[in-house]
Amino acid sequence: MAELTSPAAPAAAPAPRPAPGAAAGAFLGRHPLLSLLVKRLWLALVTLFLVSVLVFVIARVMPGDVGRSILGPYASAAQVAALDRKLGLDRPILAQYGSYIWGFVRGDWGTSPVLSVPVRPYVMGHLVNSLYLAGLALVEIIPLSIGLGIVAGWFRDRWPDRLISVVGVSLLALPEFVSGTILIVVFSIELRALPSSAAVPDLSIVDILHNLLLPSLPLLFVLFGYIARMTRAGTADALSSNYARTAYLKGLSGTAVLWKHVLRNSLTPTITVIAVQLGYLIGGLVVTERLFNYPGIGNLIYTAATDHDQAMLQAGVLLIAGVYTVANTLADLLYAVLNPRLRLGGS
Amino acid sequence: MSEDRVRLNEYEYHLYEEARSGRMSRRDVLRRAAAMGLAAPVIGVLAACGTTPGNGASSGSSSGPSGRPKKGGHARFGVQVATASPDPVTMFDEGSIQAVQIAGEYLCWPNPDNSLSPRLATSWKADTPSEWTFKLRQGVKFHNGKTMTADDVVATVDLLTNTQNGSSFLSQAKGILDSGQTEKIDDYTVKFHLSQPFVDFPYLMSAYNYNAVILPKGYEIGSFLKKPQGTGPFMVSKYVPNQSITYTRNPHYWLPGLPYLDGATLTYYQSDQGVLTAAQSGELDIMAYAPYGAAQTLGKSGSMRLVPAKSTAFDTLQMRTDMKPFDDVNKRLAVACCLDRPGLIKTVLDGYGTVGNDHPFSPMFKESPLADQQVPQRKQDYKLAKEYLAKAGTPRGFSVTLTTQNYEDIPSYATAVKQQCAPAGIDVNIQQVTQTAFYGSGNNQPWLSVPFGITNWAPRGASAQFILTAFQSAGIWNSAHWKNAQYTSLFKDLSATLDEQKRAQAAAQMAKIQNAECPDIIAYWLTQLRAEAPTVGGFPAGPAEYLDVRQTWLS
Repeated sequence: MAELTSPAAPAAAPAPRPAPGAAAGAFLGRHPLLSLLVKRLWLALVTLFLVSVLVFVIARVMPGDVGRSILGPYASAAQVAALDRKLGLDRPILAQYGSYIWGFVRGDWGTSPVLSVPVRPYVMGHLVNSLYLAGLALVEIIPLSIGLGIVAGWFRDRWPDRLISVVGVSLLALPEFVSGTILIVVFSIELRALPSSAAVPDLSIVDILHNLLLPSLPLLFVLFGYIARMTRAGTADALSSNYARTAYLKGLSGTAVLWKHVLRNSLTPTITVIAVQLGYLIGGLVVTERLFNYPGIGNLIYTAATDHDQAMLQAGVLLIAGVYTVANTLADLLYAVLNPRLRLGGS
Repeated sequence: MSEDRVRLNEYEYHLYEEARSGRMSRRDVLRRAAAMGLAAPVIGVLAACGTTPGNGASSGSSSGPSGRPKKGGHARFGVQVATASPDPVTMFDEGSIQAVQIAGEYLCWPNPDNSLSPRLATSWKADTPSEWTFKLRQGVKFHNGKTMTADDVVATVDLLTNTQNGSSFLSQAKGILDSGQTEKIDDYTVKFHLSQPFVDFPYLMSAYNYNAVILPKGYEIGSFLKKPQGTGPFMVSKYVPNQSITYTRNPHYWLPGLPYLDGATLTYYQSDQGVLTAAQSGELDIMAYAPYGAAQTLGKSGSMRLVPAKSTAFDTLQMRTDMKPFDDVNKRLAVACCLDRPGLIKTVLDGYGTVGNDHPFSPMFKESPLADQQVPQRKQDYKLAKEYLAKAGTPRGFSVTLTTQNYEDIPSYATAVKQQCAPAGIDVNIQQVTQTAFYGSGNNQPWLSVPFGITNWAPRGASAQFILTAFQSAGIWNSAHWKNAQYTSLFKDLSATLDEQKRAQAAAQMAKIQNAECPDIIAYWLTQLRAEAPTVGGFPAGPAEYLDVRQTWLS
């Protein structure tokens, strides 16, 4: 859970240069980017397989069982056993896993015994809801944190830098449930300006802002400090580099140096960091979604876990793992694309 | 229907006699008569001869906005999300029960004062304490258009009593009403042949046995919210699992002119805290169940009005009588004497409760008055506690582990028990687990096996419902493992006699025995709380968290 609720550390360690003559690379042509992609996809598949095994096993060893969840504390043990049998939970675990995973890859994700609804549309619906929230959060986070990060880097060690850094780090230290609760108290309970429970918005800007502005702010708080500092470091480094100095000395204005020479280099790590955070923004919002009663996928897996809704939990976790994998792969690829040394395969 | 009422049956005649001799007040007669489901003409006869005038029909309605009920509007309800998909047959938690009760109805409905009103039944009577005849209301239509008849009632009860279906209906009815004991007499008459005499049977067909919602014959478990098929004032129009249920007004409701509202929405929240926040932000009209912590907050903020209603819910502080340390009755009594009950109500319940006396005869039950008079109220008395400890051979006290659940008032109750036992030398170690872990499953159900624990009991309409499962020797939830032959045989008398006085006497004797043996400390009866927006009218204060929204309106 820790990994889901806190921003993951950047996985954007420089991707290793593909070894010349690697089998996949040779087969698919020699473009290093393509072989990197193939390698990443393989790794992603292996990861997802391991996640599927893990979540299946964890769901089975959790205390309590499905039958008890459905029938409640007052049902007799015999009634619970009868229901478990009806749900096929008494079959060997390997057989259960086998039929589950075979169904999953064919798109048959089963029916939730607890909610008695088909799993796939339900989980996908929640994923889409989470995408709305993540989307709005990104729209706020990217311009704000990159913009202010550049300002901080430009004014390194002067008061705008200090201000941005202090605010950013303070917000970063504020867990989502704390900032979320403060926002609810101020904007929902006291001012009655925005709802404390976020409904799924229709696709108008007004409705999206009305329902999702409040839940998106804690995410902004968490990621702003992180991304802004990343940008600031990159910008400040690049500004003090030899090529920036050269650009100054040849007579370019400060802004021209920034735009033409500095940002291209300084933003590379920032962009990969953002890509990595995509996984968190889409699949890791358990706390925020619960606090704002928003039917996203983080909320879904939490409820599924507490209700022993195995089918729902497995599908939800696998989907989130998928999102994380895609986000990480994207981050690696972006890093490769933005870094000409990797792109060109030379040193 | 009334022509055969010229002759009163045994029970009616008995009530008549009791009323005439002045042993029962008019109010009691009315309440008892309604509980027994006597027909209106009979009640009229009985009421006429009651001695003390009382305002028999207490409305129990909350202090809503003044003026006449207004038609129209859409009420917003909020509750913690149901554990499983809400279905009347299998439901057991508030989230499900409320979802179902907006659309479904029972044969009889408990009023806030614990009496019963006719709903889908128009009257009921005991031919003997184990033979009950219910007359059904004519002209009731299910939301699917079918007319409700005796066939539907028989089919519903068969569904509920089938052990394969795992309905918690059986948790109260098992051994009283079992499978195949419901008989259709004619289209609008049903007879229940009970396995054992049970004078309080109508309560088992009311919201106090919440699964007893009447469903159409051929009902498929799990389908209640997927298509409209109750008989209630509102019909399900949209169900989004784990999120919300939308209802529209039932235009064919059997009581013309009702309901007042055009519709309602029940929104699910992930936690009680979520419901509270929504209520504070003005996103809810009714919170049918407000935990004490929430009540405190809401009361302070003034955004919603709190509606308290006395209830028969309680917590047992259970002490296993068959294992150390509480196999010695003196140790049980020592603990009981350590508790400052009014103080507990103040600190644990914010004042929302009444004092209990270690027996299940709540002042709200009809059979309780003698028990209340004859058993002296147990009070905090450390001197006495020390005497009991000396008798037990442990004058300096002992130490014991109290296993509790992390649920509402219980953690603070446990802490108070620990604090109040300390001066007597009783060292209580608290072991707190989640509610799920506390109730457990299969062979691992701590609430039934720990030597010292706290269990929360939902309110019931009659003491027999508690005793049957929790206190008689064969009770399946007798968590104190207490076995007292005399008590159990008195309980049989209590359930089998229609004579009010004999019932009260049996109850008093039972209360004495239980208070003296003290297998469970019942320190308080809970006052339940609900919260409503200032605009809400016609929402009854009780019973419990059960919903009766047909007369609810918004100004």
